[in-house]
Amino acid sequence: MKQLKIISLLFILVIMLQACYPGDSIPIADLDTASTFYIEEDFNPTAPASAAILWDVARIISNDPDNDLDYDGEVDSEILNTTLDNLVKIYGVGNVYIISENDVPSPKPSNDQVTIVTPNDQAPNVQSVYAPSIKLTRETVGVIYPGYPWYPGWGGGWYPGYPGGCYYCGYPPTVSYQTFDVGTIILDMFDLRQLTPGQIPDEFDPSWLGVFRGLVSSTPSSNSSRVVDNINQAFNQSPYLENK
Amino acid sequence: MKKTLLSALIIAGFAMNTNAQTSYWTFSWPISMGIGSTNEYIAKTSFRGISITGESFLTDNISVGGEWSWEVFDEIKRDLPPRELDVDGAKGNISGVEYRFLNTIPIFVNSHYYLGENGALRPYIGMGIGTVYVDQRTDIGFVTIPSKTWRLGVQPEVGVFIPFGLTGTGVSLKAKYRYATKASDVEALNMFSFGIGFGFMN
Repeated sequence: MKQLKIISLLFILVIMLQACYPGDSIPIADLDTASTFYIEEDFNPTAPASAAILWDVARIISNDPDNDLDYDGEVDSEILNTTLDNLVKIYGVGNVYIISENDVPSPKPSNDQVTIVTPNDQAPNVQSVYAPSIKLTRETVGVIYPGYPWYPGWGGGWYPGYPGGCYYCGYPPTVSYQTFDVGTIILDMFDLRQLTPGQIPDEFDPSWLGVFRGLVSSTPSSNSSRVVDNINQAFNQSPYLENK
Repeated sequence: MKKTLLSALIIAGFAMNTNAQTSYWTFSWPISMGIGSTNEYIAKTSFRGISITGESFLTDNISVGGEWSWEVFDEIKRDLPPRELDVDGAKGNISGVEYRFLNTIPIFVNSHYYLGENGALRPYIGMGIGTVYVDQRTDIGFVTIPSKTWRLGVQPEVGVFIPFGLTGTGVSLKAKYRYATKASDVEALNMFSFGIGFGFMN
């Protein structure tokens, strides 16, 4: 009877398999998130009616430069052109401007009908400015696997070789360190209608913020397509950007 | 976890140490599904779990005892609408694939009424009441939204013990509905569970 109980308990435990959080293999794209934040009063009663985009992706250096990854503009085109396409859709091609260092912006804009403004030109009369930036870091995560408690022996006759002795004793906790390459793209929108004369630019907060975060893939095409998808999603979930 | 196991042992000890003539133990594999708001959170049926019950018969038909179970639900949700956020007064939204996990660990005292006689088919009906530990976790990218709560729970149940001849060993089949109260940040738990396993009636 006792052995039958043990067999049935083991059987059920085997069926139950592992622990509380099944599933260890996660596709890299499943970890992507697109978050957007906005200051509601800046869009009341209306959103800005025009926009300019800084045609340069700023590089954010973290507080721990040893963990910053190299970046040579691999997804600059995707960031800038996907943002540009969404701005044209929201504001109309005549109300969008590209602010560039020269007349031939690099990377090449996806829409050649958008007006390009250089430092030599008169500043456009726009109501908002979009500024993209990127941060790439290597992050180390410690995963603690709990130890197993002492399991008393099953008693003589059940497990030959383990007569009443300790079958599974005192397995201590272990820590496994894993490193991940994490990419974060940030898109700031500054509503110039909120700027007061004489205000210091450092004290001017964005009215809208898009943050896209995910693991950096070893496949460049994967990184490119995911950047495009997440920027599009950020604008899709921000209908208040449109001036209605 | 140590707390729940200790509680289960205490309940099992109660079942073993009373002066009843007979006892009834079951070790079951529960197949569970959420209903209502629980199903909205995770619609996928759970095939992971374990259920242990121990009872003593006060009379030929009435038993009292306890139950300790553990059911594991998980589901990957895609193409969800963005979740709303409110961070320091700034409103926002977050989009991403959600990995949802739900662990339910009830610790119940229960009582059952049995039909039939020893050595024969014994269907029963009963009710359990106690506490349910609910560990709910939602992962969205690198963001985790956890919730770990103890709730009051009730569990009506029907089942049958099918003995193998006169051995006192047999198959245990059971169906139960479980309700656990709402917690501060999560909805009430509603679920059905069907268990199949081994029963030992002395």
